[in-house]
Amino acid sequence: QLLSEPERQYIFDSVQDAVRIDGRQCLAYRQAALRLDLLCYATASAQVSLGETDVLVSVREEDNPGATAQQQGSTGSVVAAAQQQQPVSHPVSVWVDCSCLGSGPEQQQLADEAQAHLSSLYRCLRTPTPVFVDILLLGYDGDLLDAASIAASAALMRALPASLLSAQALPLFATVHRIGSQQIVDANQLEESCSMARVTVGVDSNGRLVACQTCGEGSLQFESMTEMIETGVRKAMMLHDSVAKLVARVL
Amino acid sequence: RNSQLPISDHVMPLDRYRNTALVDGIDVRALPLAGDSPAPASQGKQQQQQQQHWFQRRLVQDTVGSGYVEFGDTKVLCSVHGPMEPKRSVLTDAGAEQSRAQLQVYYKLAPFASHQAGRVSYLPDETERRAASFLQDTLAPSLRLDRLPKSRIELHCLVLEDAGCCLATAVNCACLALVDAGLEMYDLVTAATVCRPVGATDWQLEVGDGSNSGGSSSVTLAYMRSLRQVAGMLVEAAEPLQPREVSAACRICEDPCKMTHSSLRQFLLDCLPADDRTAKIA
Repeated sequence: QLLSEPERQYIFDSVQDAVRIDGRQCLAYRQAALRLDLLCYATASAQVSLGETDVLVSVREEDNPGATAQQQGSTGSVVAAAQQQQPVSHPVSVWVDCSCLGSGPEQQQLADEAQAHLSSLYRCLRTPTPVFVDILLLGYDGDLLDAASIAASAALMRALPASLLSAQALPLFATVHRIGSQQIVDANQLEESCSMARVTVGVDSNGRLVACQTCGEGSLQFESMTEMIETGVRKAMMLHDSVAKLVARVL
Repeated sequence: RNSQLPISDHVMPLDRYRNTALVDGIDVRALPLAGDSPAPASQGKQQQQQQQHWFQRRLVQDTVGSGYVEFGDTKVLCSVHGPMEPKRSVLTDAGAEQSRAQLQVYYKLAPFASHQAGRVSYLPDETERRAASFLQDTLAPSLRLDRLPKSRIELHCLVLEDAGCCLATAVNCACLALVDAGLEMYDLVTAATVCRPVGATDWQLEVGDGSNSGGSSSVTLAYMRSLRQVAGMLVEAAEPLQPREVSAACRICEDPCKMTHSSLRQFLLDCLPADDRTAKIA
């Protein structure tokens, strides 16, 4: 993002006074919209728009009994394989596409980092059939990981059977940026370019961490890092409530 | 420096292009192998619970700086190239963006490096790209990139053998290579990893002996001791973890990071008398 030094200083100084450039509180999210079941060929789909950040997620479940039989190594017929009650556990496969933003190296790096983060988010999730999560970024104004995780988890909630969901809680990301001495949540693109360091936590609906990483070109003290993790967990629990209510309303 | 021999030379068919000397004529074959007693002779052998680091610098001749670290059986080699012309893209602002050097990190496992995964592909996969961006985010806080405007520094990190604790060893090795290249840094960045198998309660320091199997959670912390700041932290969870467990694991990582910092610093100070530049100044 092209920002001059005075603009950067302006954003920095106003965040120190707990004023963000769009008038939000430091720990407030933007207006978010969640739409479900947009795509007809996907098992489930969701679209989240968080400000100008727009993410479309499609979840496809490959329930091909022939493929499952081959993977189990059974020599019986397809019917016998389907009758077997051993679920082969597959990890969730994630793909992020940022081609709507352009084809430059920055966009590719954004897509790579998002894919690495989201793959680690769903690492603990195991499904009996292969599940492919495809994330398409339609617009970007900061906070890609939170929006993508909301959309992917909402779509997975629709796609996966209830028995699987009750055993494994679906996680969400919360990214906390540090600008000077203030923490902010849901940074837009201008604030992201001013932030020194950020902590991204992946939290399931029980408040436990499934992923945690610091990023950015700045360093943090231990206490700051711990505070940011705690803030991230709190915000992620708030997101979980909102998403659960929205998805329940649709069902 | 490289001798130019004509191709059709009637001499003995020796391998003249292999550099057998590392620093000031020390023969590679005379170096102790990992598993023997490490370089400082006062340290004990395998009686100590934690394995020692083995540092070596200037291993690669044609680079600005290079470092090689062995931690147990894990071996990592880093080389630094630059400063060179910066990568220009359409979005790069000519003014502010080029007031600092760009740091580009490449991370690769050698095809024979992995014990568990068999042969690794020669194209970087997702884990390696993630490790490269982690290294970049970890080393950038410590490097004085503003001292080298309008330039690019490339750091190539090659893992020769991965027997556990690979990412932390790569951070240590990259730091050593950057110091060897003479780049100004605020502080040495050292890293350590603790891991915990699924269902266990205690975090254990991960050492390079191949004992860590795939099914355990790990927390890697990169720490700058003198500044007392965390340069990077990465959690790979095999099961959901409580936030206070993650904070506790980070605290446990602090001591090994400090010890690695001391031993790296001592190694660099010991290298000084053999350094050509210091001898010329003196």
